[in-house]
Amino acid sequence: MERMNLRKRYSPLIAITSLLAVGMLVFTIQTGGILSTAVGKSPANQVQKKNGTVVTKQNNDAKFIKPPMSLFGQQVQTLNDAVSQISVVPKLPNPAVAGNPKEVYVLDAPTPEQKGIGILYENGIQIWIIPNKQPAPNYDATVRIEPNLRLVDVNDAKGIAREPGTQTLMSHGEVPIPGVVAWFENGTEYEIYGDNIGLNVLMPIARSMH
Amino acid sequence: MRNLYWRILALSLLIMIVLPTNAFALAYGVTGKSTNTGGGNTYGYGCYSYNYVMSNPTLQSPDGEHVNSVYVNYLGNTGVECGWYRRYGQSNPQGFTVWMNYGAYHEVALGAMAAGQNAGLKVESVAGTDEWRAYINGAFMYEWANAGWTYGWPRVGSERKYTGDSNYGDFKELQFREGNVTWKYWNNVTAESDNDPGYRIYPDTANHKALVDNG
Repeated sequence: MERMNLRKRYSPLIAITSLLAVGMLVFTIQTGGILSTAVGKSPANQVQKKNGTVVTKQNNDAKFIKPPMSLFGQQVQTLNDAVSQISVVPKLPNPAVAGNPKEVYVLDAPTPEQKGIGILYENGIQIWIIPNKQPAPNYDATVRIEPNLRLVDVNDAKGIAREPGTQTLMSHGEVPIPGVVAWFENGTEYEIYGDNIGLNVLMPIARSMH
Repeated sequence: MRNLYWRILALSLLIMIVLPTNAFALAYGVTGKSTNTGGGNTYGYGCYSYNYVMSNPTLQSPDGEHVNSVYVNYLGNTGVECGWYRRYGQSNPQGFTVWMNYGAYHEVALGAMAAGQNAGLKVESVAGTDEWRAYINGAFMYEWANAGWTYGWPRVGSERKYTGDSNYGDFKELQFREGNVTWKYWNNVTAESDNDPGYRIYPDTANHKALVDNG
């Protein structure tokens, strides 16, 4: 009788404990801790292949493969190095607002006058500086075909901006859309992108470029 | 109370069995690009490949998928793509073209494609303009007008949704358009992005090919 009472008293506790245990098991399986096809144990953003090569996953889970900044130019040490290799004196972000760049590139182009600068930050923010952009951007037309973009003013220059989001494609399923601020000033287009980074972060960086 | 315990345990086990292990699907892709003798990347005004359209790729239920495509990308968040995809349950591979503009996508379906044979996939700008066109087997399929850019970096890519899906890609006759008219073979076929644990790209510059296969 006493045993029955004990069992009755502790039944809810046993049920809850079992539920938690099963939940943890499900979580472990879902996150790849069991039945994982990866060979060996790698950091969360890396996958080790059968041949031993370690590949780095992109910083999002979307299928669409965006090219790395290194595709578009040659890496240099500092922003000053990059500025010395292009034909215009661009407006640069204030490090107190944007932080220090992780990587800087001089962007290839068909003519020296079109060579630009690419800046990549640790948090994934990208800044593209594109001198002598041809054709000059028509932001009024752009916002008509891109419903999530809106016209903005960046230090008295006309531009466009959008909060980050997602989009669903027939061919690629759900893909992320980065937050963006872009504007055109003295023949140069400036574009700032951030995956999952909002305008509350991107716009102050844009405004620091004056 | 004992019944409640067994019900909760049984329900939890059922949930564990029914939920697919890839409920939050990861992306897997392998891309190739053209590099120059000096090590820089090749830019151009178009990209072409004669690509094998798989007749029977392995695709996982309920929505496994496999994509092969050619691209020209301009500075990361702008580009045009043309290719085919096959999703679990579809009876034919489907052609498509995508324009990425300031990081947002526009997409047009190009209809069913013949499986088990090669297809010529091409994107190129109209000479002297910022309009980009997609072609399949030499036939004009769609034009992206007023794209706002004229040149970019040619690439090819093979993607899959789940590790259980096929990610085979056979890209032959890799070419880019240099200037307004001249098409040339890729200078050096080179591996680029790769986050696929099971497949990798096998560049073959001498034969103007890139094979994406197990490895």
